[in-house]
Amino acid sequence: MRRLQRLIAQRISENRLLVAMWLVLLIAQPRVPVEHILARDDLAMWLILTLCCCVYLQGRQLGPGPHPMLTPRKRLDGRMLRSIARTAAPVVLLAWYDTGAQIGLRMLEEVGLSGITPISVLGTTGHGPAQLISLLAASITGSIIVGVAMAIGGRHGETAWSPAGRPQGCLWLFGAPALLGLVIFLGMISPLDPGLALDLVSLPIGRWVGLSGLLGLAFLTVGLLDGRSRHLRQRLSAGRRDGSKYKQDLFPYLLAIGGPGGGLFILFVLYELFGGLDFNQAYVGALHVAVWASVIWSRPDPLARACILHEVVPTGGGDPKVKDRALGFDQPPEGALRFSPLRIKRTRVVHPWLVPVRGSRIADLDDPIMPLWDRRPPFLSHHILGAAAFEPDPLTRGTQSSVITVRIRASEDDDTVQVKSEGGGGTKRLVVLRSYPRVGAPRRMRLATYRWDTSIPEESIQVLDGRTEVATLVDGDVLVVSSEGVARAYEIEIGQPLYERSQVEAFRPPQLEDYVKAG
Amino acid sequence: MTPPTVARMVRLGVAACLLPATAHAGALNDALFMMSHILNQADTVGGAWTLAGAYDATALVALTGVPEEERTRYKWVPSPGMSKSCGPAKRPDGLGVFEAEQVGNQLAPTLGVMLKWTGDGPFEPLRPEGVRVSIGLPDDLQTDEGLADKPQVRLHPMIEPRSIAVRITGPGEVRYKQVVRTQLEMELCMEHKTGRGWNGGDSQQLRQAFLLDPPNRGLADRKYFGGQTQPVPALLGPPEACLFEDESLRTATSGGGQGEGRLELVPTDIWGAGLRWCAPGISDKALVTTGLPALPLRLGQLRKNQRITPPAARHWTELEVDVGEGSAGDVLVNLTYGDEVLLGGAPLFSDVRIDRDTFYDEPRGLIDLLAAVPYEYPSFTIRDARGEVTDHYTLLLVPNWQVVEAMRRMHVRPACEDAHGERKPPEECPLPDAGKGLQDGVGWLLAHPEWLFIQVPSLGGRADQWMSLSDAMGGGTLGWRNWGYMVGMLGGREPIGLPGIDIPTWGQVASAQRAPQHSLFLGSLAVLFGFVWLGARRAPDGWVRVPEERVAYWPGPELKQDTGGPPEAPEVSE
Repeated sequence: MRRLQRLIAQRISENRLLVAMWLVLLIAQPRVPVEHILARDDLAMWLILTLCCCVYLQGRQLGPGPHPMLTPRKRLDGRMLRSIARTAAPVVLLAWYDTGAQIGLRMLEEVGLSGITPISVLGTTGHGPAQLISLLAASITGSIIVGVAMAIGGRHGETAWSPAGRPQGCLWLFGAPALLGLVIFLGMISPLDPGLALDLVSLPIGRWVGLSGLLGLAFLTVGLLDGRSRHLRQRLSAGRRDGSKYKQDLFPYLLAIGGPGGGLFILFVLYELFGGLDFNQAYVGALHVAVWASVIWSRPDPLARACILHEVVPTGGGDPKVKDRALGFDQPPEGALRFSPLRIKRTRVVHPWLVPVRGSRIADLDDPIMPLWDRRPPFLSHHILGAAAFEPDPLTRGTQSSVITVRIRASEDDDTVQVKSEGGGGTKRLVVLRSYPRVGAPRRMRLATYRWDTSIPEESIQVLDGRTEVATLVDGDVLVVSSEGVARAYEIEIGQPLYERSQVEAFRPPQLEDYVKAG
Repeated sequence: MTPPTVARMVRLGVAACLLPATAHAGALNDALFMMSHILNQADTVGGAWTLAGAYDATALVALTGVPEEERTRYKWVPSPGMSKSCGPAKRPDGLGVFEAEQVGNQLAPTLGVMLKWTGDGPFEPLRPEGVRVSIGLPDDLQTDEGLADKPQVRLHPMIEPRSIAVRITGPGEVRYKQVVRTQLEMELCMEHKTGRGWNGGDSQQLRQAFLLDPPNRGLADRKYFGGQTQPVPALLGPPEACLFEDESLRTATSGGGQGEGRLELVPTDIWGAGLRWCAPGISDKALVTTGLPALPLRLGQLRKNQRITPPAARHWTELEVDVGEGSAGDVLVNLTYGDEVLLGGAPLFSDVRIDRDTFYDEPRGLIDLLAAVPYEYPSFTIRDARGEVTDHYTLLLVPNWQVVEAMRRMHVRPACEDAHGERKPPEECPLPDAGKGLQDGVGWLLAHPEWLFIQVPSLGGRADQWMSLSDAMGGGTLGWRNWGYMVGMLGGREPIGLPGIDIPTWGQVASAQRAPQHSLFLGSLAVLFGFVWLGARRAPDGWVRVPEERVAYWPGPELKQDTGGPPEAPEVSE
């Protein structure tokens, strides 16, 4: 159960933007006028609007992308244009779909079957030659706008190596018409109601199939828009590590089509039991799209997270001065500083720190592409404290990037801080203070160091001594290092995740001299 | 893509399909929105009707933004023929205006109730015997056994005006035909003079309606036309009536001296009343050519593929009274209204008076024929783009004074017993405080919907079993159904009907269905859940002890001693 709770919390946290978007749509839904174009009873417009929001927030290309050793070009204007094109693409597909529906209706009228048309399909767009022409014009215009935006922003994400093979234009030349033709076909079958035609139970099967297909194709289109044939050529040319030929994995593409589309069809069938799915239940359709967006465009695991150790100083906690008589050893000492992680102030001294994220999967096995040149040695994953990393969550076994695990004994080189008490009477103490335990962490109380100290949760303080093997650090923890009575403290800030190897490799590893001389 | 990744995505995909489905079917939706949507819809369905809206129609008309002085006025124009034969129309005492004028010109609040036809069979316009709008005590104010959650005072929504062409036939003696004629003339003329529908009543109510008896002592005299103290339905437009000429009957009255000299209702209004002869062209289903305008009602907002069927032109309906042979108690009468047989072989003089809902034991007397003639509530028919009928709606409009009167009547409690078992007079019994000093009864009722009962006959249940459609508006655990949509989310986008010539705007519909409040509630609920969720997760931090580390020496300036007050930051060289 705890695992399930943790998983749900993680998923919600990862997709909090999508959750917020769904809530906004849910709140806005009652305010949409009945006659508004968004309030189509077939839910097409609302689903596409939801998809557009999801694309804007989280949409990206499907598939593995360029060769992992190549650095894509970055351009702000290109990124914005491609983002706009990606977001607008589903709307353009819907326009083509409605165009197809108009064509289908006209064909049905010609064969005398217009009576079986569920008119609600065209509830907003109307029905007639004028509507067909206006829809066709809107579809063509939208397609051109998307195409131009993609072309202008084409430099963004471009990589250097362009092996020989089919150029990008071929894909656009044949792929785009094929895709639009499929969408038009789905629109054409949407007015069909075979049950009604056969005098059976009337179910808008055609509309269900059409909309489900449209949604699946919209997911696929968004995922393909940013794709480049060059990426595929790079991988084909490089091959796999074992020398075998690279094979394109089609599963993400099939999932993008079949997952949302098939799910929507099941939803239509289920809701037929409740009286049908119309705009009153638009929030259900929106939830469906948002959940599938989180599946298909799930956030990638970062390679590392940039962290900062802030040097901090205490802002209070001084005990009263020593009286003129000594106290017994069973009494709290006087005149010391009681350092609290809540009474600190940052100085401007910071120490950058890059902590790798260890995934539950081994990237080289998941994407065993042949490297183009010898890799640089991986950056030092250990810290001066020891080997620090975001290790997989022991409960969910999934990747996490909120708790740093420091394995004190993992690194035996000389740079590691020696926390063992060495001979000679010198005292060295390294303590991690955590103001409040993590949510869900066990709150067993433990006796603090001294008998006069009151008990605190186990997680609140970690004393790193000679027996310590593992320590954990989270955002806001304070590391107090004291040697011979002189102390220094560092507050840990866990920062931005890094997804690209170039960012990681450009990072300066921590040096010994960056840290406490007291250590 | 590796198998574990595929399996993970497949699992997520299955969850993605099932999550939205379960959202409506149960778990998640129940947690987030307390299942109000589907529960409300279930509760609003009773019999062949669904509650699609409940609102203050007058307040909504003001939302159009049109200044009051520029709004279209509705003026009650009585039938010239009726005015000639029955005398002038006089308006109900105590109001000063016809209720259709009061509602149409926004002179007082009006309770609007939209009902949507959900039956399987052919649609029939809703009549008073098909719906009950009442006010009663909710559960939490119950003090007497058996009164809780039951309607006590019935309200009478406004009805469509009738154009009745009376034909008195049969082999019966002329004197009995004359008696029938006199009764119908008096009652039909009373409809014309007061603008209200004849509802029948017991003998005391009838005597008071015919101004034979004074009002009840101690009760306000409102000349309710169903007796002095009973609410009756108001007409949406002026009624029309005539009598087919028959040689055996006396000539039509001239209408002279029928209360023209007085503004209020006087006995000469009733006793000098009569009906004119029907014009030669008048027959059953013939159009009413006098063009009497009823209060216009408009429905909105419809979807783009929906069209409203224009209301049918007003036509004459023949009321045929077939008086049989015999004398006194042996005279049988057949009553036919249009194609509908209302009474077949009923004794003209009966010990039992037949009302629509109840039977009263009465002394032998003439049965009330007009009380058996049905009224209809205004209805709307919606068609799709192909012209096929998709929906039917009925609009019930209840003037404010009926609500106020009903709430005041709720003070009059039946006799009760004290702690020693002795019966106490009603005035000494505990009274609910609702309705005291009430002016805007409609607003009060919408704010306390648990007092409102809108009932329709149950489908498949007992004949006397009525289901309440208004349960969805209020009540429920902790009263949580009072939020957001009045009648549940699934009814929140239903159209509403308003008096006036303008089609209701989306702003009016949204206000009637409380869409802004619904949005606000959902947003507030999301924020509240967010805070509660975060707060609950971090609540134990409130009593956890913050760890401290003792150090003997800290580089830098000397720290001030901890005096228990707020800490002071030392000067730090940066």
